Amino acid sequence: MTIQKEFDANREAQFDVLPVLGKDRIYGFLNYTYVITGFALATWCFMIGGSLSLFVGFKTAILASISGNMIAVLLMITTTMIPSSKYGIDNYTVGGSFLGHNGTKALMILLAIIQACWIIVFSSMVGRAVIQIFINLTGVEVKGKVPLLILSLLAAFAVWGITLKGPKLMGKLNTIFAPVVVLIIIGSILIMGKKFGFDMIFNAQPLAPFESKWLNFLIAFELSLGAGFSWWPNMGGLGRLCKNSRAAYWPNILGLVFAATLGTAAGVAAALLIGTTDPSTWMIPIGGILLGIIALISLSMANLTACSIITYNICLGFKQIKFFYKKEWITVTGIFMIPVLIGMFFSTALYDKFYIILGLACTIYSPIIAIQFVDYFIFRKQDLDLRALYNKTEDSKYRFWKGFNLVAIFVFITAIPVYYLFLDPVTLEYTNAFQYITATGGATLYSLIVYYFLGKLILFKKKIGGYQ
Amino acid sequence: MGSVEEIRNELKGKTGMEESVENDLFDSIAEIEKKDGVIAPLPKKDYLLAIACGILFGVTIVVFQAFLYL
Repeated sequence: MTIQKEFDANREAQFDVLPVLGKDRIYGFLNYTYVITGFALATWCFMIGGSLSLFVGFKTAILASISGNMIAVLLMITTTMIPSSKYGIDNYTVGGSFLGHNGTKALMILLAIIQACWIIVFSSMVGRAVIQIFINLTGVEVKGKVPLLILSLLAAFAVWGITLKGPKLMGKLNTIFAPVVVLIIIGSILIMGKKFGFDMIFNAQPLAPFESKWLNFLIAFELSLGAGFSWWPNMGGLGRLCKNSRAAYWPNILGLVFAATLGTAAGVAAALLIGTTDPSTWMIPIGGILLGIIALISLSMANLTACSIITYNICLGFKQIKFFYKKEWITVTGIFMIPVLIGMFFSTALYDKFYIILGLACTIYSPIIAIQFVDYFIFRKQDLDLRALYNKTEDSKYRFWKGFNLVAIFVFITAIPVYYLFLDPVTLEYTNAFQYITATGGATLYSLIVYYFLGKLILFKKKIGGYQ
Repeated sequence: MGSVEEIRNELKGKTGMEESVENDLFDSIAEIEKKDGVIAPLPKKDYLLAIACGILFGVTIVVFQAFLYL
């Protein structure tokens, strides 16, 4: 029996693109709240919390997380959940209306790079967790980079294996390990409070702050914006399953802002107390050998599951691209895994500076969200032409220039150096302007204003893109 | 809004999908166009509440921190 007979990726990809009608929607307000909270309270909270702890203490981290996530999530869900829930389509289908069909495919490939970074980091965390378990069980030190590299590569292969099996196995694993991670997060906060005292947590100093407290807060706020924006690729797929607009909108605030901040708080507290941003080194000092090892095993399984869901979603998206359509699922996922496996050789740099991924999320998602907002709410007045969205030929209203909305692409490409005018997300070098508007604020404002004016000047005047 | 037949005439063979999936698509589009969307839009007062959340939990915190540190 071939893998293709167990899981038909082509069929899955095709049906994944169909609009979801009212009778097929499964999420009401409460159960979507449960789902999105489960996504939010996952191992990435620890990594994000670890990153914030570099710059700010516990209380400031909570404030930065709430404020950054709130602003980012509100912008992000307004542009994604509203159209996706109205029409029952995912974000990549909506993308045809503001990027063009081919522009959306190009974006998908760019996003695949960011998703690959997440998988590299979490596979590396699995490798590190295994090493910690080994050291604590045997007392034998593990030296050099090779053991971590081998274990991380094995974790990546495990992700690939789970993804090949398709959504049923991922669903089963998620059902088991997602609640376990929630328990670990809540349990770790309670244990830390009892073992170390909340006074110690509140007074712990950040690990590597800048001199200026305002700058430290702004960096933590900027990284929290990145955390909120990072949900962009996943939201449309969820929004199309919600039974009403309020169910599609408000649970995201509960989950992606407040629940995520709770998880991030656990990460911040642990990093401040243990003195490192690496979650794999926290569990045993916090929980003791037995609980710590159980937590590390559970987190590792949750990481593998989360990574396989990320891989599955992006590769299913690839299946909609002509080049990948006739290729077997193992080939499509294999092509995606190549940069992941190569990236594993550089995982230490990415893992130790996880904030780079959050910064990249701001650089890429903030202009996309700004463009999408202007296009959907101002230019199209929340009215999309479904026929044009699904018509992939020359006579589609959304054809733009050979499938590319060059105006949106121009704004997106130029927004990236605009971001760098304020902050370098890799080195965290900043300019004075960053201290007044933040890099995301600058890039977002630029994208909103320039897309609006260029859209009116070019798209409307030349009647390209089906604008009325 | 149009009939399934009209949508089929307009889109058949242009979606890149298999025929059986295309037929499901045409039915879905017809139904969505009839009702101008699958669900009712978010009420306007929810947008006001969203803006209030953004100000209260977003902007206010940043401004507060600015006063504290600058």
